[in-house]
Amino acid sequence: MSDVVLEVNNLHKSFGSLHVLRGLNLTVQRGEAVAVIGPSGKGKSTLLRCINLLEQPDEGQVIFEGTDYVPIARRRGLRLRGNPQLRQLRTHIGIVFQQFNLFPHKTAVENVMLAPMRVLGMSKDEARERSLEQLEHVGLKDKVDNHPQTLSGGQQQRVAIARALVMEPRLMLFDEITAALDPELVGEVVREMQRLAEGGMTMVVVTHHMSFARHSSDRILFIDDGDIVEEGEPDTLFNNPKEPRTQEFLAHLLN
Amino acid sequence: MLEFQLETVVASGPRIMTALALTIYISTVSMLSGLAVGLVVSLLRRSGFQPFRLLAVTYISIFRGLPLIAFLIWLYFGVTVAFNIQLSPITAGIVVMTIQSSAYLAEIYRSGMEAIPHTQRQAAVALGLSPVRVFTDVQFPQAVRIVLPAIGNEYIGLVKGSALVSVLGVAELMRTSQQLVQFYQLPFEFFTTAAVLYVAVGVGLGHLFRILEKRIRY
Amino acid sequence: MGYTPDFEPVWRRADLLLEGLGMTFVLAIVAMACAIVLGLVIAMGQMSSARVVRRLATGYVQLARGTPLYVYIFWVYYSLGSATGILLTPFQAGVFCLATLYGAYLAEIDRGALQSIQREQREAAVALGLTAWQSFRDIVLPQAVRIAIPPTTNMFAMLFMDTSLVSAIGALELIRVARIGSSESFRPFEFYTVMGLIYVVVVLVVSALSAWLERALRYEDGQALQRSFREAFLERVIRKPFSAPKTPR
Repeated sequence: MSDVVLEVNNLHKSFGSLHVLRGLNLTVQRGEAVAVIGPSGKGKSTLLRCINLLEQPDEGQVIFEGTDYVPIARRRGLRLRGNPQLRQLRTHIGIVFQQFNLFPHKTAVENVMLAPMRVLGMSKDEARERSLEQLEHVGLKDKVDNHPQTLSGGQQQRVAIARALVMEPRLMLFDEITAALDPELVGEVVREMQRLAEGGMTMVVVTHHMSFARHSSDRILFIDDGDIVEEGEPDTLFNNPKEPRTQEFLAHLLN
Repeated sequence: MLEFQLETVVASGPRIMTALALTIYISTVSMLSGLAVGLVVSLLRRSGFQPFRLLAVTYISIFRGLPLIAFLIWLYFGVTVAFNIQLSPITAGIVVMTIQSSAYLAEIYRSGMEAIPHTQRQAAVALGLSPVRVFTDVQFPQAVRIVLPAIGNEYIGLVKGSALVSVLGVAELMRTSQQLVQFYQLPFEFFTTAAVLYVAVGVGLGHLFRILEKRIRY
Repeated sequence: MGYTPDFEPVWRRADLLLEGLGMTFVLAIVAMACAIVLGLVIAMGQMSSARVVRRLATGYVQLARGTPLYVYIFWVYYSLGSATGILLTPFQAGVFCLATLYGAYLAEIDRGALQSIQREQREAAVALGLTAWQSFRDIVLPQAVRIAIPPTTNMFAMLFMDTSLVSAIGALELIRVARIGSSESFRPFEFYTVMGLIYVVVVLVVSALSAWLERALRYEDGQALQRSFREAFLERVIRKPFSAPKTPR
């Protein structure tokens, strides 16, 4: 198997007259933890959503493990079954959202069990077993039968992480997952991300949380105006930013 | 001056109760069928296929704009006569009430679906669920919880509306009351009784649905 | 099948249908006017500081919501006379029943509108030094009216449909004239079809009006909440008739 999990070429995406992604290129190796930083609203979220094709790129390629999914996404599959290849892709790519997006009418364990049962065709017992395992890994063993409304933000986010991980994805996407949390709850969630990064998960993490970017990622991308302005190893980027915009952004952060 | 001949009313008790049972029967059957048909209509309305959508929207517009009594009369005295169809009054009543409530319920389902944040759909899609599953496992369960009160209201509306089926000659509560009034010449007593019974059923259903809502609450 | 619909008798008796339609409108409009007034009174009653008044008003609304209009009409028309000696014509009985029932429905709408404004604005008005009546008249009421208009228009559509029930006690509205026409010509299907279509069309027009009103009266983001209905109405409806801008979400 090749070592390149994800290759993004010349990605363009516009929303109406707003040209959000402008010819972005990216390669992610297996086991890499890539942090994406940059000013708000300049394309970081959109990039993630183009990777798992929640958004349809206007131009460019999104190549996951050797297959370009952009033309596949363009094909409108049969209405009821959706686009089977795209759904396959999504079993290999997990995503955790800023707003958790847990299903409120299901308990924590049911939230995690849903996809294995419905998409992977697992039996209820097997799905439950695996889900309980994942929930234990994120430290929520005693909250498995709770509904999201009874959980704190940090706990909900950890359930969201478990829900993505239970599918055993080959690539994980994190979309500013600590941004909607109260400060004291951020720690527990960041710890999970660190655990995953240390465990060798291939991940792309859009974050404001500079501590994670600096200490737990293998590579950092600074994105502004829809393209990568600078990328490099954490220490290099933080201590010796080459581009003026990077310097400006980091200076801004540090005061 | 205002006397209430309770004894006469009580004497007709069994007959009134039978009529009430018929009222509840008609309303309930119409409600259940309406729930099913309404679901189909609302699915058509969400369809990507233009003609289906157009059909559904037309259906909803027409049957929400047609007064129940007009619909009943049209079907039972117009259509059956013209096209020589044999239809029992009860069946006609149930058919009409089913169709009308299905139109209202379709709109109710729609408002429920629209109240769900679209991020829920995204999360489900991101997990790889097919469109069918996104609907059955994520959207529909949440929509039902949201619109349960409105559904309860519709049910109560059907009970009240069933009074109109009397126009077709069905011996439900309203018609029976009318017959009793004619016989005993006691409009106040029997119409008041009818009104009280309808209100009672409505209150009862209201309580039932509130309990249902509490139980479905997470 | 073997039935050829023949609408000719219907067109021939168009005058009859128009008369019925006219009567229906009169019935609906008069009843609606009374209902609006009544609704406001009841809504104020529901929000009164006197507990007895509050209880009465709320009780009234709950009773009205549970009573079928059809039964109510018969009850009023046939028993009110014998009980109190007041004899009403079918038209009067119809107006009375429609107004009293829909007054309750409108009261709920008005109450909702008033309460939604009061919470936000009362404190601001009080902080400015306005009296309770002033804050009500100048700040709460204009905004509440604006909120209440679209659902009230919807209610009119429903009231219009409910006028059909008054035919049962003899009022010469649309259903009754259709019955007369169909029995004259032995063409019930045609007459009832046209009758049904008329109802549907009127209700659709009123609903469209309601939706348009809702869009025209919507607040734009960033606008001061202190705009009165008159202002908004003048600007949106008179000065900018058909190009009501889409409100940014």
